[in-house]
Amino acid sequence: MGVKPIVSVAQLKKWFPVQKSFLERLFAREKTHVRAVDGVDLVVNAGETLALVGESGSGKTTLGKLILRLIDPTSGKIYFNGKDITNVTGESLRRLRRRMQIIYQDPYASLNPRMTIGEILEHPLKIHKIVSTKQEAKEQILNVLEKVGLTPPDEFYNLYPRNLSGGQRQRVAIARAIILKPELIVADEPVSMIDVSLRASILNLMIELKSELNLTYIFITHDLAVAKYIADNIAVMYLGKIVEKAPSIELFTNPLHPYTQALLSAIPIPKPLHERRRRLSISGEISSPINIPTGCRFHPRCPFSRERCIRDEPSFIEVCREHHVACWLTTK
Amino acid sequence: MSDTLLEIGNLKTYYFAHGSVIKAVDDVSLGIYKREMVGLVGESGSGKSTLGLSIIKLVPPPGKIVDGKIIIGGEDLLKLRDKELRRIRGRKIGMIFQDPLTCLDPLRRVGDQIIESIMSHIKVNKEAAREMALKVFERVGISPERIDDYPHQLSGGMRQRAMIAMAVVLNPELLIADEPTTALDVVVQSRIMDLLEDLKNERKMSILLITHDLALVIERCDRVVIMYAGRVCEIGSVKEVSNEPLHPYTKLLIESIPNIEGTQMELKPIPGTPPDMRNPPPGCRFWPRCPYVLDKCKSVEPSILEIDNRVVFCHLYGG
Repeated sequence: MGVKPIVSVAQLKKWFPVQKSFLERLFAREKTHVRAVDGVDLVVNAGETLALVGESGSGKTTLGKLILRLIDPTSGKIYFNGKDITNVTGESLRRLRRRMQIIYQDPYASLNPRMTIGEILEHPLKIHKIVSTKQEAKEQILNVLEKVGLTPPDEFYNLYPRNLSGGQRQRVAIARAIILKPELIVADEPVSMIDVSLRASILNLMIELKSELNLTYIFITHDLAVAKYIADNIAVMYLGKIVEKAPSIELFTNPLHPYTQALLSAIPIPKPLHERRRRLSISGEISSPINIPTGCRFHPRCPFSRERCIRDEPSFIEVCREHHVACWLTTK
Repeated sequence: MSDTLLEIGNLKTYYFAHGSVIKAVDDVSLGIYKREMVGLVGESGSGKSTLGLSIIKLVPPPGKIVDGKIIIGGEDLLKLRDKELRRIRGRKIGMIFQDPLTCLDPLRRVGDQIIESIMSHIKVNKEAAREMALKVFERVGISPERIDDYPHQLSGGMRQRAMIAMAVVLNPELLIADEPTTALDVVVQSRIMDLLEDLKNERKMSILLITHDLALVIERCDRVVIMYAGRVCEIGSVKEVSNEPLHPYTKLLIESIPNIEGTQMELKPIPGTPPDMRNPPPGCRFWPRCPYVLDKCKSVEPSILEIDNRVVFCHLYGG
């Protein structure tokens, strides 16, 4: 099976200007920015599930939105199926949107409370002019409801979001994403607000749909255990950059970046810790994306930080097959 | 095991809203021993937070403690008057929450807030209280010069540390921690848990850790209490419960959480959804989702069954 990139981004940046008071604006020489995404190179292959993991503030959601063109990048390029989509607008952007969809974290906020499930799912069909008659729309909607496990579908068709549990709402959000038969879905923390006992069923549903509909997922999560379960490849973000990317099993068995190592050793394991594994404890918290540290942006928290780390930024290179890392420890 | 610090007996805390009664905590009994960390695990709506608030009698209206007893140091908290309760809160029982911003006043310096809380509980002058505040700040890992910062100037992890400082400054015997690390990133979470563990050991206090994260509890606590829909399912040492869960809910919960260790091929989802608490199922509240359901489960509430040091409420065992 040939691997073909579906999405690739090159030196992608998104800097948000920081609001300042009038006087500060008058006298400040430089504008300050939140550097949410700060130079990301990434390739996502068709048919894979790529997990983007990182702490809050690492820029993973912003990166997801940039790829979908929901926000405009400050600089850099975004390619979708080999085509440059960085500056696509208007009608061609709308056509593009049909092929890439998003599932949001909070199914209480992402569904319009005044619309029935049927209306919510009809909306994308109307916008993209996929169906010509109401009857045809309803058929497709019932079909997709069945696919996401909301059965009997005609019962759910007339319900409002308030009649559904969190897990069921997230299934509606998934249905809305797949009804356009997209190629790529960005799922932004899709299970973190779901009751613990229902998370596994949503994850399993997403896995099933992926092979059934030939989807590619960019799965954004802060939970490495979830990432390990669902993803083929994992990219670890820190302060707007990807610091390590590897196939999921490789990342867990051979983490190279000290930040990845710290993340992995901090995850609770459902096993009593009297025979405690060694933890790599790192100090402090993620720096402000307004004042990004010089050199390697992780150096202030890194236990192995050397002079060079403070001075020069390490580049993101492949150290062994499919395993990329940006760290001076591994690049001599 | 060691002696009991706090005993909850047949506690019932109900919410009365719009003509319906939500039995958030329904006939819960459990003990907390001295110097232990107990994890109270449940999903949203299981009543775990209401139980925590009941212990310090801070259940918000329309919630009410309807029946039961909460005994600490020979006193039943439910029989005390407000003035006497204030003596208990802070000095005997401290509490921390998920979101420090809900309990820190955004308009006042964190130091002042700790000083005020110290002075309202014990007779010291302002200088001595400030001295205590500085000390406790240092202990929880915030540099003393941050004492004059406002809450918004602290990072998420530091705010949580400030709240812990406020809760432990008077050396309570019990610290109730309601989802203290849920809003934090995993690296920070692990360091806050280290801090709580150290404080527990050096101050000889007990901690009730309320969370939805079973993995965290199994890793960090001595014992675990599993709650489902207002009732206790199972109580036991984390070792026994994780190695050999008795209640089907515990078993399914362990199988349904992703684990980074070992090769977990497939997660087994728990069928069904948590019950509508206005109208919970009769009998055992878990029966509609239970793969081992018996006829009896659908009508008869399981009663308490004690096996060695473990407690389970399930018809599959005994009788």
